[in-house]
Amino acid sequence: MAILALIELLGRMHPLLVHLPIGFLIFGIFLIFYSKKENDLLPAVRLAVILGLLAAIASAISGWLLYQSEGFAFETVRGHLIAGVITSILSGWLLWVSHRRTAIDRSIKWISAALGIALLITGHLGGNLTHGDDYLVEVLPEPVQSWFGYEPEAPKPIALDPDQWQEALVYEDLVMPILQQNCVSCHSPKNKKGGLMLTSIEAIQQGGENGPVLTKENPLESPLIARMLLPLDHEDHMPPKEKRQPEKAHIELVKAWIAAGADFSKTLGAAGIEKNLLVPFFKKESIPDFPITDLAPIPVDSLKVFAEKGILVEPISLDNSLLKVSCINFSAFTDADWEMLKGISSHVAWLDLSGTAVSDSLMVHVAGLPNLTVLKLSNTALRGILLEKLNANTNLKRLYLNQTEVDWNTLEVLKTHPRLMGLFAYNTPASKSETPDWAKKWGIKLETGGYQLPVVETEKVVY
Amino acid sequence: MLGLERLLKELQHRQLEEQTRRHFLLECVSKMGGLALAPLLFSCESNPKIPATQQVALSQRTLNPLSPQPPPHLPKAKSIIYLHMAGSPSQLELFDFKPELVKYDGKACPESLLEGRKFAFIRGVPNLLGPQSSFRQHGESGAWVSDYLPHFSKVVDEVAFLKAVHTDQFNHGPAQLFMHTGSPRLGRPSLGSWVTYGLGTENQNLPGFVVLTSGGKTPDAGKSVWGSGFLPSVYQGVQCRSKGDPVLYLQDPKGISRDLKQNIISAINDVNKLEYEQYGDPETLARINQYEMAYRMQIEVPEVMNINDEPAYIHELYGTKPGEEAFANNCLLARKLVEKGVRFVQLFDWGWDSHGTDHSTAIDLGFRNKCNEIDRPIAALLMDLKQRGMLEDTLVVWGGEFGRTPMQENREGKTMGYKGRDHHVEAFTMWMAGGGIKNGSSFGETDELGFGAVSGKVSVHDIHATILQLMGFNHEQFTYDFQGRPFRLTDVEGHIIQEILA
Repeated sequence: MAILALIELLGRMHPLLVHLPIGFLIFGIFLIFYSKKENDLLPAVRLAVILGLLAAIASAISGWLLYQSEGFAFETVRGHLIAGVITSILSGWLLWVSHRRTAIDRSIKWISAALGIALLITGHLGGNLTHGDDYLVEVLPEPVQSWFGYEPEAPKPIALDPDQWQEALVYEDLVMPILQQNCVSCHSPKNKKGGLMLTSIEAIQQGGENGPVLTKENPLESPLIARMLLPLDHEDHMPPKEKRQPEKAHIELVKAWIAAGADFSKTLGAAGIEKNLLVPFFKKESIPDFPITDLAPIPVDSLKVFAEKGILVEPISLDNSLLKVSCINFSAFTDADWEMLKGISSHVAWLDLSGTAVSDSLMVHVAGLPNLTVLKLSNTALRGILLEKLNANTNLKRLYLNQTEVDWNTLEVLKTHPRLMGLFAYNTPASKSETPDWAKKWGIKLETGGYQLPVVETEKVVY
Repeated sequence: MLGLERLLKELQHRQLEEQTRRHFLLECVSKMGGLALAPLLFSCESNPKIPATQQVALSQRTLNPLSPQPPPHLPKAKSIIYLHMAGSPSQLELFDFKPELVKYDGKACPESLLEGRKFAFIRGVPNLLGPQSSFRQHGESGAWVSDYLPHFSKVVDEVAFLKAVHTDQFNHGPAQLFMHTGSPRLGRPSLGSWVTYGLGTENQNLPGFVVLTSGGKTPDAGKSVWGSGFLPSVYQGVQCRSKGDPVLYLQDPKGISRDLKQNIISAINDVNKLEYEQYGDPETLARINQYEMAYRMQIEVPEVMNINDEPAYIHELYGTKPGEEAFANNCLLARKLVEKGVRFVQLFDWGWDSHGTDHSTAIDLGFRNKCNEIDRPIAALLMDLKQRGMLEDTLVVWGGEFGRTPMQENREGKTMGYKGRDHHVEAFTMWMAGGGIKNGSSFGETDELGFGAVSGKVSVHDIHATILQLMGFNHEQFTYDFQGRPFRLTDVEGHIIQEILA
C-alpha cells in the first residue's frame, strides 16, 4: 500500500517536475544561440543539457506513473507522451554531440532547434491536459476563437414544454444533460477520474473503480447522489469543492430518477416524476410584455400639445418608442378628441381612458391602433356593443371594463380574440349575473370580482 | 480740464480712504471663502457632465420637478403600496413555521447560536419559545400561514414570500432607515423619493409619494423614513393625516375665491422664479411646485381622500373604521390613491414591537390584536386590487424592519411575565405581491429553529434592487450626483431576487 501511495505521489509530482527540463533546456538552447565566440560557452551548454536530460527523464517517468494512476485514456495523453519521449531523446543526442565537439557548430544548433520545437509541443500538449484544450483560446474574442476552429459552445439549456412534459424522456432529456453540465468534464473517456465515465448508459451502469454508482430505487445509497449530498467540505463530496456546484433542482431530479428505478428509456410520465420537480426545467414564456417594433421614436417636442391639454403621453420606457397615453387629468375626453391621437396611432401601446366621456363608437378608432397592448376603459358609460372591433387589435393583452355597462352578450364577441390574456369586468352587469359556461371555459384571466371575506370568530376577539 | 482731472482724482482718493486695511482683509476673506464654497454648493446639483441616459433629464423638469418621466426600461409595475409594520412582527407566529421549535419550547438556547451576537434586550442564555400560533398550509401554493391571519390565508396564492431576509441593524430607528433609505444613518433619500424622482407623478393634481400612518404613533426613525435626503425636497413623501381632514386647510378661507387665490399663487411664484434665476437653488423650485401642487390638490384630494363615498360592501371587505385612525382606512385609501395615479403609497402601522413587557406586547395577546387589525385589511386590499385588475401593475410589499428571535425575551436576564420575542436580524419574512411577482412562490429557508438562513438569504439591498427593477430601473445605473459622486439607493450592493420574479 505504502509503495502504491508513493508511486501515486510521484506521479502527482509530474506537473511540478516538468518545469525543470523546460527551464534547463531552454537555458541551454539560449546559450547555444547566444555564444558569439564559438567555444567559450560550451561547458555551460553541456551542464545545462545534462541537467535538462535528467529532469526530462524524471518528468517522463512521473508522467507515466500519473497516466497509470489517474485513469487518463491513452488517446488523450498519446501526443504529450510521444512528444515527451522525443524531447528526452533529443536532449540525450544533444548532450552526446556537444561532448564530441570542441566548439558550437551547425549540427549542435540544428539539434537544439529541433529540441526547442519538441519542448514547445510537449509543454503545450501537457498544458492542454491539465487546463483543457480550449484554455488559451477561451480568453480570445469570439471571432478569433473561430479562426482557431473553436466554436464557443453555448450551454444547452434544458427546456421542457410545460404542456407536454409527460412525453419527455427522463434520461435523454433531463438526466443526461444534467450529468453533462455537472459531471462529465471529469468523468468522460478523456478524463476518467476514479475510473468513472458518465457519458454513456453502459458506462453509467458499469460504475467506477469503487463499484457501481447507482442503487436502483435507493438514491441515498447511490454514490452518484450520496456524494453530491455530502457536506461541501467532506473529501468525498462531488463535484469537488472548487468546481461549480449543481443546482438543487438538478440534484432533486436525479434523485427522483433513481428513486423511480433509474430507467434509461422511460418518459417522465411513465417514470412517475412529479411535476413540481420539473417546474425549474420548463421553458420560460418568451412573449414580450409589449410588441417588438422598429418604429422611430416620436420627438418629445411634438408631444407637448398633449401636455398642454392635460393628456399624459410618454414613451412606455426610455428605451422604447411605443407610447403610453393616459387621460387621468383630462376626464373631459370625448370621441371628438380622438383626432388629436391620430398622429401617434401606430405608437400607442397603453391607452387609459378610464373615467372619461367616451362612447361605444370610439371602438372603431381604437381598432386602428396596431400596437395597443393595454386598454383601460373603466368607469365609462360603455355598453360594449362595438367590442368586436377590438378583435382587430392583435396585440391587445389586457382590457379593463370595470364599472361599465358591459354584459356577457357584448363580451362574447371577444371570445375569438387572438391575443387577449386578461379581461376585467368588475362591477358591471356581467359581474352581477351568472358567468356563462363559455366564459368559464375561456382560458384567459377573466376577473369579475365581487370578493368577500366572511367574518371569522377570532377576529372579533380582543385578546 | 485740469479742474475735472483734479476732481476725479479726489473722488478716487476719497473712495480709497473708505477702503481701510480692515476692509481689504475682509474682502479677501469673503472672496476666498466664496471660492472654496463654490464647488461645495455646486456639488449639491446633479452633474450635467454625466450624459448617462439613466440620469433623469433634469433640464426638462426644472420647472416642474414632478412631471411624469418614463422609466429607463420596461417596468412590470407602475405603482407601489408598501405596508410597513413598524416595530417588526414575529415571523415565527405568522409565516415561518418551525415544528422543531415546538419541541424545544422552554429549553435553553444553544450557546453556539448566541456566540458573538448581540441582542437588544436578551442577556445571558435565554430559553427558546415555541410558536404561539398554529399553522396550516393554504391555497394551491401550500404556503404555511398561522391562525393569527385567517383572512390573509385566503390570498396566499397572490403572494411571493421571502423567508430569509436579513438586516444588520437591531434597533428600530436605524433598521427602519436602512429598510427605507438603504442606509442606517440619516441623510439618504427614501425608496419612495427615489421612485418619485425617477418617475414623477402621473396625476398632476396629486403628489407622487403619499404616506399614511396608523397605530397611534409614527415610526421611531421619524419622518426621515419618507424623507428625500439629498434629493430635492419636492420628492419627499407627503404625509396625510389619518384622522379628520387628510390635508389641512384644503378649503379656501371665507371670502377668498379660487380665482383670487390663483392670482396670489402666481404672483408669489413669479417672485420665486426671479429668485431661482438669481441663485439657482433647486429648493426654490420645490417651493414653487409646492404652491402649485397645493392649489391643484384642492381639486382632487377631497374626492380621493374621502372613503365615505365607497360602497358599503367595500367598507365591509376592508373592515374600515370611518372617522378613526385605522390601518383598514389607510389600506382603502392606498387603493384609491393608486387608482388615481399616485406612484408610491407608504403605510406605516405602529405597535408591532412584541417584547412581552406587558399585555399589549405579549406575543399571544397584544400581538394577536395587532394581527386582527391588519389581517382583514391586507387580504381585502389584495382582493380589491385583484378584482380591479390593478394587481397587474401595482406592487405590494409587506414587512417590518427586522424579525423576532426564536428565544423568549429575558430582559435583564430575568424571566418575564408575558411571552415576548426580542429584535432579530438574522432571518425574517417579508412578502411581495402584484406586478411582476411570481405569485404563489416562496424563496429562502431558515434552520429548524428559525434562527438563521440556510438558503435563499436576501439583504435589504437585494429587496431594493428588486423593487427598482420591477419599476423599470437598473439599480446600478439609477444614480444622483451629490457631494462629488453618484449615489445609488443600493450603494455598492444589491442583487435582483430573480426567484420571486414572474
